[in-house]
Amino acid sequence: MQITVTQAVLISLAAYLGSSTWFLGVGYFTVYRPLIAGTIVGAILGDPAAGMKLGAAINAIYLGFISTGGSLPGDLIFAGYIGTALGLAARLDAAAALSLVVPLGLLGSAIWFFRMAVDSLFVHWADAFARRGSTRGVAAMNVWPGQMVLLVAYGVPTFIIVYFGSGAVQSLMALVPPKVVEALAMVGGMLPAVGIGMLLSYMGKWRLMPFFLVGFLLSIYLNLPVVVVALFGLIAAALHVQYSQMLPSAGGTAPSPQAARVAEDRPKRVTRGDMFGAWWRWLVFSHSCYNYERLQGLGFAHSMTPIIKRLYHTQDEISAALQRHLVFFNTEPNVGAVVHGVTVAMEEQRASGADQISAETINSIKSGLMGPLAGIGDSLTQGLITPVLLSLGIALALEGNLAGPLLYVMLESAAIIGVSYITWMQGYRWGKVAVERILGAGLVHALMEGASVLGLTTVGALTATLVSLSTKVKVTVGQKVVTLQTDVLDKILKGLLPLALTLLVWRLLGRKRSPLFIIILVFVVGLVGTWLGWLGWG
Amino acid sequence: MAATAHVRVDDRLIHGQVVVKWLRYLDCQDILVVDDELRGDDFMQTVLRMAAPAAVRVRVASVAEAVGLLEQPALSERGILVLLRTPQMALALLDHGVAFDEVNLGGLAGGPGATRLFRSVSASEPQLAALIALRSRGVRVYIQMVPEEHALELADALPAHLAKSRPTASPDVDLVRTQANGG
Repeated sequence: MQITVTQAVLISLAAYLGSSTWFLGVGYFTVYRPLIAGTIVGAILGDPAAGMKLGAAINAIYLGFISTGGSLPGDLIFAGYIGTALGLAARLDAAAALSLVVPLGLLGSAIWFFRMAVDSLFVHWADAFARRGSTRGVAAMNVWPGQMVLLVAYGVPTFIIVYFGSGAVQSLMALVPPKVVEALAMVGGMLPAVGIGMLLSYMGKWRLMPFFLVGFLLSIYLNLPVVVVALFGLIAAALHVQYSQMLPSAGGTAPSPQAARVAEDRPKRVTRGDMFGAWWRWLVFSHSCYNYERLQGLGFAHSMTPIIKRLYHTQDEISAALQRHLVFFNTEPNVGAVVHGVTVAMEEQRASGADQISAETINSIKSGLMGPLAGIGDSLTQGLITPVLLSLGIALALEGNLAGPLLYVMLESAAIIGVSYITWMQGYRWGKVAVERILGAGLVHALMEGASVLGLTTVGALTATLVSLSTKVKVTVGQKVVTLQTDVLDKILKGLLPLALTLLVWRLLGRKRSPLFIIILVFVVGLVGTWLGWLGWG
Repeated sequence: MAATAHVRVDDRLIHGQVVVKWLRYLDCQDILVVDDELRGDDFMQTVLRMAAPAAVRVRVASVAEAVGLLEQPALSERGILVLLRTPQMALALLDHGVAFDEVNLGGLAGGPGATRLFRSVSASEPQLAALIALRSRGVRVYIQMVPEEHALELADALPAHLAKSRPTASPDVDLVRTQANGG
């Protein structure tokens, strides 16, 4: 299939949008992921279902993908958008396409580092606007230059590779001997074990691994759909959390009467509209100009502009407030939004003349809280909510069900936006006591434990459906030919090899082997094993 | 000092990179935050404790307390992660007789007058002096945000004129040492 100029332009625009800021703060959780990218590229190329399936297969390798503090292992934009475009154009099956995707992901991270470096320049432009007290200037610096850079940095290479590369991939594939195609397919079947292994190295504690095995067995012997296994996982999670008595006692979250009085007696000058506007700006633009020098610093200052305009009126005051919030800041943007709420409350007190709230107090509370909340936030949003919901989306998508990506986007967005709104408003309402209210009740730990149980059960089922590995070895015992796979292994445990491979990857990661090393190992074992006739089907 | 202690300088202390990546990579069940200022801040100590996973024990100690804690041979069966907000604090630990071979420089915020070393690692003048002092006292300092990345030696990230010189006991360094001891 030839990709037209229009299609290539649309795909490169989609690749930019996938990395952009325009999706209500959930872009990183939705359109950035290959499952969604594949569906979009498929729609552009006229076959959304095929694109979705390819995207789901690619996403499986990146199931354990967690980016923290501006550092990320590989980049999903190239893997998702270019990977599916080339795969669909060259009519590659998922397995062969996967071998293209790994180098694309690594190439993509170069773009990410470039963007993080270049965006550092724009915060200095924002500094200049802040000195003049221009809230509009600061906002514009957060929104526009960084997005222009992203458009060029992702759009142009995507166009070039998709438009000129699809023909090259097709002719390359025509040259590859069938034996190698078979071997690549074997590698493609093994690669999801890397994504699942990475996720296990994050979620998998020994004491919870029985849930993983239950999920695996339910899927491989009863052929239950992953969604149904996930429902069993949900039940298991509810029971596990209850029986291990992790649930916080009722009333544990109530603030002390004193804290409640302080919160209620506080003079309120910020309106509901200001709060909503500030939260909205943070939700949409927190990473718009993400950069190494101050990470989300400019995003923070931008989000505070409605508050600053309400509280301060002279140019000196506005300028000082803008500069105060243009410093280095980084947290997990959703759970961490409590910091913003707390900051608004402190700014309000400061503007009302409370002497004890100095600029230093505000800064030290902000910088003290941002780290710990990122720790909780990354564990919760990137480590649990996202992979659990993605597992479901991927499983549905692989069955050809468009509900996979749709359901994923809806549930994920509701969860992320909900967390962000609640933490932000709680932070404002209670001040810094909110942090203890949210974290101290034990609710978060119970939630994480439950999500781990649900996640492990689901991922167990996903291992059974996604990872494939089988041997062709035959042993002659006297007169009888024994086929290792069907006569021996399958009679012990169906799916023994995929399960063993997945657990092996998990242990290797635990022994400090890097994911890239393991991916290379999988390629070598898969290619050499197939070449020697040890690995293969039937 | 216990052989399994990992020293990390990171002004955000316990955050995503630490919780999601390093604790699992290093297989640590203990975090020791050494910080004289936070030692007196009950609220922040509570927050730090709540931020770590349930199975991880978090302690906040002053420099003086940390010396005693780190000398106990059986402090932890597994590794212990020592978190410091500034390189000056690492120098203070050395001065108090805590021995360590390596310091992982994980994150230092940029600001006015700070020199950018690598990505999100910057250092102010006193921080630079402390880093150089650590190096001249035989401590390997390397920049690495997360385990998946390659470690970058401090020498390769320092501005050229600082990377070559190896000050042993310049007045600047002594000044840093005294300040770190004091606060």
